[in-house]
Amino acid sequence: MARYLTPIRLGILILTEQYLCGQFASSGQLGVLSFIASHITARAGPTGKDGQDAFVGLDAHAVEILGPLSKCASDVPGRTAYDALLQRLWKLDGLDAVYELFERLGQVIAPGSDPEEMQKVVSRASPLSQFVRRCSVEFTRLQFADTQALWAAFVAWRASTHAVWAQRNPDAAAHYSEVASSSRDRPTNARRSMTEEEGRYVSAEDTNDLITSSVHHLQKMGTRVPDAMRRKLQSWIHEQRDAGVQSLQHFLAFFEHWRSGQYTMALESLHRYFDYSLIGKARENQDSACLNFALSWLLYLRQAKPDNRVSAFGSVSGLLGGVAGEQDEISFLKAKARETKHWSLLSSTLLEEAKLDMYTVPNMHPEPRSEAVTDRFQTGSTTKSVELIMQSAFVNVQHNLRTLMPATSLFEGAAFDRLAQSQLAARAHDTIQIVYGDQAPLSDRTRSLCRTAYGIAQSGRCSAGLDMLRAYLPCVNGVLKLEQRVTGFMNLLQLMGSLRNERLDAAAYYHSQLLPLRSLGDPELDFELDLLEIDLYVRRRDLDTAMKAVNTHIRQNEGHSPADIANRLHFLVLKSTIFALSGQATKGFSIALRAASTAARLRLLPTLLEAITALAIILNDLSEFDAARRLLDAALPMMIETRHCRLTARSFVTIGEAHVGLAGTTCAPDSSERIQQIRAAEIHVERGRELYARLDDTSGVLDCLVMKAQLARWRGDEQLAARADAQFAQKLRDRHEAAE
Amino acid sequence: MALSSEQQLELQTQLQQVVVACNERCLYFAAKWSAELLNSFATSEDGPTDDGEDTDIDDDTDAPPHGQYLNDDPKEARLEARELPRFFLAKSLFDCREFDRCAAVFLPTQVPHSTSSPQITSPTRVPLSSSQLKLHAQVSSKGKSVFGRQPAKPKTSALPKNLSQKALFLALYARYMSGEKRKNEDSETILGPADGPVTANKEIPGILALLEEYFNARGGLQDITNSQGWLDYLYGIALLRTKSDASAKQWLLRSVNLQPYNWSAWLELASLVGSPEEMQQFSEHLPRNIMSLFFHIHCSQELFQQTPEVFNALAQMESIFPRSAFLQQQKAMLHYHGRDHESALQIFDTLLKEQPHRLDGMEIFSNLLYVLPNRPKLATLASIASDVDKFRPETNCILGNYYSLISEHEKAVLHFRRALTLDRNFQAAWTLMGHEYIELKNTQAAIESYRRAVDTNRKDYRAWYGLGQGYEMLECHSYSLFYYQRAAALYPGDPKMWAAVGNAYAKCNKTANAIQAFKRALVVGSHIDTSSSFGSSGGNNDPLAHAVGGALDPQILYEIACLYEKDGAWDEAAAYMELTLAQEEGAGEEGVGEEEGLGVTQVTCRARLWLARFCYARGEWARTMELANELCQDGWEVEEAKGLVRDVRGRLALAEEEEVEG
Repeated sequence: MARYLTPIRLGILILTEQYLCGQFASSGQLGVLSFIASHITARAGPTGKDGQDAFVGLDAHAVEILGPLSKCASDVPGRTAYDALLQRLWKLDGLDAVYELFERLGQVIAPGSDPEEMQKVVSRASPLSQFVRRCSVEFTRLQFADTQALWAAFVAWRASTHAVWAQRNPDAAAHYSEVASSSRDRPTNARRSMTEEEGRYVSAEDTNDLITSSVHHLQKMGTRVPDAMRRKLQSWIHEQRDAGVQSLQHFLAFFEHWRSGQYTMALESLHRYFDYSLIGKARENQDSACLNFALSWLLYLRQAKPDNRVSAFGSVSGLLGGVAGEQDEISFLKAKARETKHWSLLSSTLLEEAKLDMYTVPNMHPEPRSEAVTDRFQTGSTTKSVELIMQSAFVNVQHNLRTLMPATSLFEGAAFDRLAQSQLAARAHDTIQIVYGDQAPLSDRTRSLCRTAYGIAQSGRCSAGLDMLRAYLPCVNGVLKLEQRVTGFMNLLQLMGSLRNERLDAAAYYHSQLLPLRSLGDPELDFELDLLEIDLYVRRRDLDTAMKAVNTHIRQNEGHSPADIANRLHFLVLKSTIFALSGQATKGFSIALRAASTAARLRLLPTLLEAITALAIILNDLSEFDAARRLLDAALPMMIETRHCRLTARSFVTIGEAHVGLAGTTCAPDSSERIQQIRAAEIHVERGRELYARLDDTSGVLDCLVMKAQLARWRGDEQLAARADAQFAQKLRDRHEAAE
Repeated sequence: MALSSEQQLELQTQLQQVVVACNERCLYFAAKWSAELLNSFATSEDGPTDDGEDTDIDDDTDAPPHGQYLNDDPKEARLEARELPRFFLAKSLFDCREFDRCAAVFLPTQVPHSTSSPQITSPTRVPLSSSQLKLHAQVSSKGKSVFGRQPAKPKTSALPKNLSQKALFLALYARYMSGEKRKNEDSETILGPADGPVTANKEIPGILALLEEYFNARGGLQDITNSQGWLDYLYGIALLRTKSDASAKQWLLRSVNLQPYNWSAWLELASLVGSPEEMQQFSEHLPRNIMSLFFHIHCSQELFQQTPEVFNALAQMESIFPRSAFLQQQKAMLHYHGRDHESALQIFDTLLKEQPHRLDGMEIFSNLLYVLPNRPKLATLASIASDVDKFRPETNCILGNYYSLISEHEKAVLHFRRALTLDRNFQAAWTLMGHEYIELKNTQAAIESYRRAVDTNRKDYRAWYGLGQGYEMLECHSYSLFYYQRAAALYPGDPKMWAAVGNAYAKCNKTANAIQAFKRALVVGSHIDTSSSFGSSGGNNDPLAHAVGGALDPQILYEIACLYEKDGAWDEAAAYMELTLAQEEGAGEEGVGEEEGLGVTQVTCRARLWLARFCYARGEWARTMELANELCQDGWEVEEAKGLVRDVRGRLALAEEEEVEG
């Protein structure tokens, strides 16, 4: 089997030659040229949008492939380009004719860049010339026996056009059948024609592309290769003598065994794949690329499984001779990637580094002693990671690394989220959906979509987020992990919604549905689930359990570095909130303060805002109303930008409370100041109520209505108070109805 | 020379016996040849033999096994019967290519082979350094000097008593084959440092010693009473490998007389025939049977004797063996050497069609297709051969020829090398590889290849010619002269050889000899051309009447003229220049269309210019004007011609003036 040349390509070469000789009418030339172009540039890459379509016709007969040419005219009136081509196809009467064809083609290409010569022939850089030259080179490399096989395949391939050709050229056909019958009795010919019948002739490159594409598809979809397809692939692979395809073949087998549940065989195939590909890779690239590839995988695996305390991959940095952790590994990988011009590795390493920078801060310890040290690196980890992400994006654009672009956008979105720029973050996620679309890896798309839906839900439109996820569900049909993820997020949103509605039974149900997801080991999902779980306990007024859960999480996060610092801070804030709820606000004060200061230092704005709100509530409790009000006043604009509705609502209510407090403590009774404070309180509470209403947060709305009624009564506005009371009663009724 | 049916039956029986005998002795090639012959009697004769099947079976049941057909000697038969189990073992081992073990069945040796080289030298000596060893091997392989032969004798020749000839042959032949195998392994890459005469078959001295002892014990060369002829053959080839041609010839002759159906022996003998005269001498000593006719045909073919007698002999043989592929092949090769390409092509074509799996001799067919040239056919032949067996030297030669024809010389060299790796004695490949190296301008390698070709077959005039070419490229003209002479002597029918000799003489400043050689080339060349035109012109009394219109090679004529010019023989030179010019036009007077001239070529133009100058020097102004004007018309050397014209005009004008004045 030839590496590149196939009967189809031979046919295209003949057509090209005819085209260059000007054998087609000027009206037909464009059609012929576009036909040639569609065949020589059909496959940009296996990841292309129509990756599957590119392989259609790989083993088709000549009639099917060349048929479209009958629409183009040749220079003989009444004959189409198809007829002309067939005439030439059948004029090849033996192996020697193929050699002659390539000799002639060799003269078609311009020998140099001399402009005078370029006018007559094809310039070297044109796509046509590249195709012709590639074919010529491949032909020169063929062994004689391979040339023979190619010729035999060509004869078999063109056979389907015999009827059409013989009809138009009866004399030539008669001559042909005469020659054919005289040579048919050669025993060797008979032997060959029998073997040729079974499988069509496919070049090694095509097979390789096809396998790569299948593997790609398998990885994306997690499905199995259809039986017919697999059999065909197997027969092609058996004809291969090129070892390059071998390794991928085992990878394919691995998927097959895995899906069919033959785990030992799957493991065996995987081992085989690694052995062959390692050997192949090492031979081709003198080992370094292979090593780098493996290293980047190990890094990825370690990041993906941060819980593995006793990591199997821990020894990698030891292997490299350094004792320091990932930072060394990353810089090593970056240097290597630059050296070997392995751009995708560089890009992904940059992303890994960004992630590392985002999660951790050098020497981040709660002890105040180290504070001085960290201050020196006070650049803010998020900003640095944004820079790294930008570098990665630049590499992607420069080297057209399509598969990595969505991942970069995903990181970008996360970074903006951390800077509380939810608008920008939403843009980044939209980019993935709209710009990269189908070309993005499915996992990246799913991830970004879940994120977006969650954001929408947080800003109050829970059902919109749910609809979005529901609409997306068919796209991930068949990919178990992604499907689980999407359904997990749907459950999360449901849980969130039911918690807000105070439908605690429903919430408990959804919670129980979500619990198995913890085994997936997805840190993002885990974190959100933890938060909602604690929220559930709080709403049940089960503060003891809530506190225990928070403490467990904090302790879990403490131990190892790859865990996200933001999560830890978040739990700290939650802890202080729980203290406040249980009436021990002073206990939570220092915790909240510390969390706020750390978050501020690391520019983790969402966490900072949470902390500030918690702090304000505590300050209110401590009767430091003015401080609480000023704190929240400063934080509110940023909070509104985050679109974190619940937080904002709570802040408004807290400001209202602060105003009431101010009215009670600082203002003289019956003074206009006091009335102004109460007015301000009312306005803030009303805005809080609106936000709670948007969130469907029943308890929040009820609280607000109670406050509103009391404030109105205090002001003596009975009408307003009665209206608030009526609303309150209505709301309660609604809730009961909904519960029933 | 049709045979009577009894004669034919007898011949068939003999051939059957010899096939069995050859197979028993593992002479596969000879067995194949005989079996082919056995199956090439006329097909109509198949009927009766089919009918006679029953009787054959009957014969078999009460006759002893085939192997003992030849055994008239009861003593040998007794010996063979006694050692039958051991013989079976040895034969099986040989078939499995375990040569050493096979030899050890009948000739037990205490030391394994790897330490046999100290055994060759005397044990008292200190171990030799490797260079000395090499020198030693060379000397002993030459085998001529008495000094060289003495250490080659093993100190003890343990010739076992009471061994049948068959067993002894098999054992010794196995030793010979083992030596060949080792030689092949040691030679490493083709044209590498260890390739060639440096590595010899190390078993030969031992075999020679044993056989010498054996035959001495039985009355030497003269006593032919108690020999079957096989051991003689082995002795002959062993002697041949040590370059003792004379004695090898004697022993081989003895062998073919005793065992006439061993074709391998005939082939070895044929390789010793260097000229037709030698063949004549040989024929006196040959047995009078059908095999000597085959031998005669084969030798004639090898010596390029395309005489009617040979064709007659061929026709006779064909009447007996109408289906013999061997005879067809010989005939085709005779036609090919005789430049009758059409007939050769036809014969090869039918041969290929009838026996598509038979590759023997097909490399000659590919040579023919190369010379014609016929690319499509060569490609077809190549694919057939490649389908039959990719790893046959013949196949690779055909492929090499094809690649050479489409100007892919690197690939061609690759295939020739592959052919040689498969069989280092495949002479055709050596020559063809030489041609390729000439094309690739790798003169050293070309010379070495040709040298190896010549070493394998001293009758290959192409290789000799190639050697000459190689040395010419290196500007060693006296060397090249020597080789061209050899080529011309081997194949005097080719004007190219003589022209090359002439050129070489000219380069060596031997003008007289060069002229002679060129004239010979003219004669040879014109002989071919005029033989056909003799009839048409009938009895013409002008000896030069045919020497026009391309009947002679203008290039050679021009060369001769130039040589005469160099010698100062102006008239001769002018005459030859005129002759060169005469080749432009056909023998016009008769007005017969068939004889058209070559037209104006570069050579004739040069001749014209020379003549114009010559006439100018002689003061024949009119002729000078005429020639120069012709030159201007033809567009050759226009400037020079115009100058001449101007000069002549000036002179003429001056002459006129003088006349007027005078």
